[in-house]
Amino acid sequence: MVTILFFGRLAEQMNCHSFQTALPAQVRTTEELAHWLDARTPGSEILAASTKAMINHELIYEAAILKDGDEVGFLPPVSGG
Amino acid sequence: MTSYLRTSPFDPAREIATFTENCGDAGGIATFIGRMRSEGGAATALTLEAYGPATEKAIATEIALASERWQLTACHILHRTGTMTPGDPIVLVCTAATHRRSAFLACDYLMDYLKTRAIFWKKETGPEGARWIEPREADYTDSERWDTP
Repeated sequence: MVTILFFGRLAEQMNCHSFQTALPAQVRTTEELAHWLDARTPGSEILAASTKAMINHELIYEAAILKDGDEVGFLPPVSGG
Repeated sequence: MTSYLRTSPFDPAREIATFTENCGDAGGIATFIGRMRSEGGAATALTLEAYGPATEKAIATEIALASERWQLTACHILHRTGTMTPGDPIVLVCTAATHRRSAFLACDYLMDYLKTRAIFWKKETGPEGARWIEPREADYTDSERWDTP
């Protein structure tokens, strides 16, 4: 089970702020997770195309392996404060 | 652990007074208050969203960097999240150092960080509807000043 969070305009586009889900066997990395989530929204390539991701509050720069209990945040470009 | 985020309004004057009492033997204290603008009536509300733990951690890292670079004796940041209306304080930065220049520079640096790289998303609402705000080109230009030591 992993927790997935969306922020800013991404939460509007995905129509969701957060949810928990068990990952199918073929989803092992953040990149695969992005594609898997995009596929659940027909016509969408939102996550795979343009967002950064964090695992447990750490920014990742390339596809990272997911493990049970991870919190994965998908971040659109920040606005600043 | 210090929390830099506030979900409800804060009083900058009270925060500055507390900071001043607790900033050690500083000879210079710089403070900056950022408030919500009404944009001549075009903006009636501003909603700021953060990624709580990640936003806090990143701010703490920048405070540590600024404290080291300018040898601060104390530093404090408060930043609102949630929905604000024109005139509401959004952010407060307080820096204290032995001499004024370090306090000014660190305060300026931290504001540039907050305006361009801090983990916030903001949405402005007005009579015309709502829109997501992104940093202006001038914000990035300001921030780039610090790349050269």
